[in-house]
Amino acid sequence: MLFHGAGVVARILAACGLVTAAACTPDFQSPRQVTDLRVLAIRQEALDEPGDTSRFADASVDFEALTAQPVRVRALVVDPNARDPVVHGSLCAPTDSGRCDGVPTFDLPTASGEPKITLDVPSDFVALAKQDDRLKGFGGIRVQLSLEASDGDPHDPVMASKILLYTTAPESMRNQNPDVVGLEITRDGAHVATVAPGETVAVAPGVEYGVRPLLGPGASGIEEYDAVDLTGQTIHLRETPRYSFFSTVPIDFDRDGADEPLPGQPQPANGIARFTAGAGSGSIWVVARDGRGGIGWISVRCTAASP
Amino acid sequence: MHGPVATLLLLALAQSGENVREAPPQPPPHAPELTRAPSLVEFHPADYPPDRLARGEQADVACLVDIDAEGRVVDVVVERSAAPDFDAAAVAAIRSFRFSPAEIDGKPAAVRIRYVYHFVVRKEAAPAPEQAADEATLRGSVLEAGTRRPVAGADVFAGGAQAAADAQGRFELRVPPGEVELRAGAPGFGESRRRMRLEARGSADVTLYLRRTEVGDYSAVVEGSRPEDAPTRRTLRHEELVNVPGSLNDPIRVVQNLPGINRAPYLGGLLLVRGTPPADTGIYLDGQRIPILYHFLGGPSVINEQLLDRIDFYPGGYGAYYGRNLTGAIDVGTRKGDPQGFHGSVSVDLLQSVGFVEAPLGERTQVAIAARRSYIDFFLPLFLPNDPKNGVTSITPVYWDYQARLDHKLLNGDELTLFAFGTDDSLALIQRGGSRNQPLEVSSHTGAHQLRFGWRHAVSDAVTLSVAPLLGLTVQSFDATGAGTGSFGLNQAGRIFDWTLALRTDARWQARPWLSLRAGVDLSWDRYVVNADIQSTLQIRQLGPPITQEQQISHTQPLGNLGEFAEAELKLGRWELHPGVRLDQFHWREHTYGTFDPRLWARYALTEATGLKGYAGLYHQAPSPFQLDPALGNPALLPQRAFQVGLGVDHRFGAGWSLSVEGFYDRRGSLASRVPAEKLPDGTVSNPLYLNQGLGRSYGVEVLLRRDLSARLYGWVAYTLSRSDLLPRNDVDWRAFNFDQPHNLIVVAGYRPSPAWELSARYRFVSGNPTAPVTSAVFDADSGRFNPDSGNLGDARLPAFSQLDARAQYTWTSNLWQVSAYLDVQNVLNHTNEELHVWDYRYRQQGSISGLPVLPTLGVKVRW
Repeated sequence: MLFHGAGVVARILAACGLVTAAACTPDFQSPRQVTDLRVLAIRQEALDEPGDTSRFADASVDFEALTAQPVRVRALVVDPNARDPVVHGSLCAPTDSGRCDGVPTFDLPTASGEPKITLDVPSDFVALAKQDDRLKGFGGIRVQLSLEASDGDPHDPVMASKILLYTTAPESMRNQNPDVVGLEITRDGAHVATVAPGETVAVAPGVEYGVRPLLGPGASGIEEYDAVDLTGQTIHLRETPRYSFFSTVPIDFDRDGADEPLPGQPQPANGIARFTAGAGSGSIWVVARDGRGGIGWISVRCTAASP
Repeated sequence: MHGPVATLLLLALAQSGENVREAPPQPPPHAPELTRAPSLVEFHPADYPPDRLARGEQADVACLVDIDAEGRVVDVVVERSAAPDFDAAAVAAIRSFRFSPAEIDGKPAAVRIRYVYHFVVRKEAAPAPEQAADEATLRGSVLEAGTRRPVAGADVFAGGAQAAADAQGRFELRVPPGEVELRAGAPGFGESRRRMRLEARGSADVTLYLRRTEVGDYSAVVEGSRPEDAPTRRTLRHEELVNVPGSLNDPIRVVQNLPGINRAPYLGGLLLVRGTPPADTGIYLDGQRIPILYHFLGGPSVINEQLLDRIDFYPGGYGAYYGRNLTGAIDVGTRKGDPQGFHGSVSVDLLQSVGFVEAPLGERTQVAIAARRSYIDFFLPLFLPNDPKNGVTSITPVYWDYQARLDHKLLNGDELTLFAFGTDDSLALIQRGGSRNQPLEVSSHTGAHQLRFGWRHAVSDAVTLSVAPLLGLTVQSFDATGAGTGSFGLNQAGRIFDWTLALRTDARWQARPWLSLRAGVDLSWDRYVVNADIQSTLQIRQLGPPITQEQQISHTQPLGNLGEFAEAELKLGRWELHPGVRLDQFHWREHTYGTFDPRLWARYALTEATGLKGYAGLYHQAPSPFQLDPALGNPALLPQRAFQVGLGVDHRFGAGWSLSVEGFYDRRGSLASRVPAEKLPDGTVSNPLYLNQGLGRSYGVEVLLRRDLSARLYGWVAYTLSRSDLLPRNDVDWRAFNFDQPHNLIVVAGYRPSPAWELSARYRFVSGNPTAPVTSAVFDADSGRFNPDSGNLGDARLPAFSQLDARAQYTWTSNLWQVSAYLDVQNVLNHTNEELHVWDYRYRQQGSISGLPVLPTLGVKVRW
């Protein structure tokens, strides 16, 4: 008798099937090409008191007092057409659709070109979230933030969601958002420039450049941490960040995403992704996800002019 | 003078002689065998029509003759007419014949034979007395060109003498010495001549080969006294299996053209019986389980077609002999090696090569050996992306299999069988560059090997006993070497060794002419040795998205299944009743469960040609070893159960046509299904992974209109109207089964205009598979992907599937061998069939992946 359901073997076969069928797949637009209004990322920052500082991505919750740590939510909403989007938000228990239907909405004001809001979850919402949770608050609660962005695009509104985590875990187990502090640009493996957030990099048109995102130090990079699984066992894990690449015309990346090489693995010779720019200027965004809800990003401009 | 020359060719035995039919019987572990052919013991010459005789006209009238178990002729039907007066004279004469009783498996049985009555005007020249003393002896054989099989009843003439070849094709003539012309002929064959010189009182031995000029019988097949074991059974015999288009020269794939099997996408070999998962259908080889029936990725079956005797397909409603399946059963029967000579075949096509040999080893022993090896791994890389800049993909699939069967008959009549079977599939995928910043290598391997022994003993005329132990090893392994995230982002590997011991015993007792009893045991014991280092996906509460975690598994898992069955066959007037009961004991780890499955099927003959049939029964099946695994599943799962009920009618028309209509309803419960974790009232979390919460239901009508296999034509129309739904857990809604296909129409037709040509075609029209329509999508910031907002599976469907396949085969024949070349073209009309809907990354644009385009396959087969 075969081990029916042995998923790995099935996935291997499926992968091969997909590879062989790839030639028949319709030619869709790639997600890395930003041509209209998009929400590229949403980040949760648990706010320490007093003040406006944040150490963790996930917030703490106290079920006895029915209180939750306030969080700040920032969204990376972009539109190459340079229209100002209007962003609404709503909160609810997690849904399969990712939408919060039939609940009040609130505005996310745009500051410094970035929709941002501080959310203070009321106690009755904490109680309700715990009640709706299948595990009745075991380990914390999950609150769904849904966003609707509009700027007159024919496909308005653009919808996005993020699970806001409110945890009962001790600080040693809590997560910190990754920070992308810069992009190293290379050409044929040789260093060309390091670009900080908001800066502009100049490149030669039609030439392929490598990109290597640079993570912040310590917990702003790759974290190692302990966690408790559903059987109650404490397990030690290590984050495996993954990057997503986006650009506007005339810049074109060669891939949608790439993994941060793990310790001991060889570093790719010419960055972990490559891009080519046509004459003109455009935007580049690189989003980093740590695999446990932490998100960071970098936005830079790129110009390509013939010498 | 005139006289008849009998050509006796066994055609198809038993009451009906059909080859795909509903009710007739079959004992899975042992295919009935004609152990003694009927021979003519009482001959009465036909009255030669006087006018014809006067004009010297000759003719052959071919008749199908039904002979009862005592050798009496009970019916004669003209199969190939000469003229009304010739026909009438032949039928009248044959009706007065008497034969020695035929025997099937050593017991007298009713059979059907073909008898060709030759009206021949002869001029006999009596040899002069002085010549007789000098006569020479001419011995020899008459064989069919190409196959070298005897042409029984062939006429042999030389020097004014005449003889008919016996069952082994042998003849002996006494002829005057000197130059003689030896001639041999038989109906349906061209004449063979040879001149030779014979010395007085000398002798000579000669072999004559006859070439077919007409389409001949397909072969002598026996389908007589097999016990009825299901009204739903559909048997396909080798002769009508081999040339169905679209089956890639693989007979076992033809079973997918019968009612009750849903269409699998592409060339997939999934056996989707009555809208249920493949794991719910048992796959048997000579009555005992085999792990897989098809090689991977739409490959051929694991049994060589030359070794194939028949396929019995039970979509449901089978008796107590088969067990531990929720839905259907497919039993592939193999045959003994040829007892008369060394034969074999070699088949070569674009995907694989297959070899087969068979021969007698002495008078009581036969051997048959087959093997296959694919070479897709040589060709596939030519069609895959191989761009160093944008990435390199390499896929190397390899499969092979072998079968060896040795049969020996002891002096006391006992039959011994030794059977070795093995199959091996391996697949490696390597991706470098392109969208990957780290190389990825994954490979998988599945191998299965079995050694079987069979002993069949006739205790008395009424009691037979068979015992069949089996030793098997199944190996599954996988390796993935990668870096980063995703399904194979990190290294993982696993090995599963499954040692199997199984035993089948079967005792039958013909207690009364109207009552036969059958009982036996069906035991299997599996010992899984699992070693794996995998990345399993875990949902950890505080961490948001599911994460992957390394998990090491190393343990041994025993699974024991003991089954006992008993059933009776009662023939009471127009009624045929088959009550049966099956007991199964399932053992895994510290758990033991017993199940009790009563089953009954019955048939009532409304008329000689029409019958009503029905069945009802319980069926149980263990969850899969994966679902029972202590690390990956839940060992506390219970056996799954199903209740099946069906009602139908069958009718036999004239001229070989028959019709079966059958309604069915299957209800499945306690299905093992994946469940999410829950917090218990005591504050702990329950995460059993799987529970017996699933339900399933299938219902519909299956129609089979069939033209029996005849000399030139065969085919069938299969139509299934059905629905299949699933309720995976008790907190979700019913949804359609992934391959729910309400309408499934298949038309198969084969035609042999001459012995050299065979043409066949298949047309399929099948409802599109269910889909879940997407209305919008929401970007999930945690995963970076869009989640579609879709309806339930079944709220929409893919467009209907429509495909015409065609096949043509031409055979060149020499005395010693035959060469066949075939062209099999799938999707002749190049119809675009959508197999899958795909979307752009944010579900705004929909596209589709189509099935096979027009796909020709060329192949050559050599037989000797």
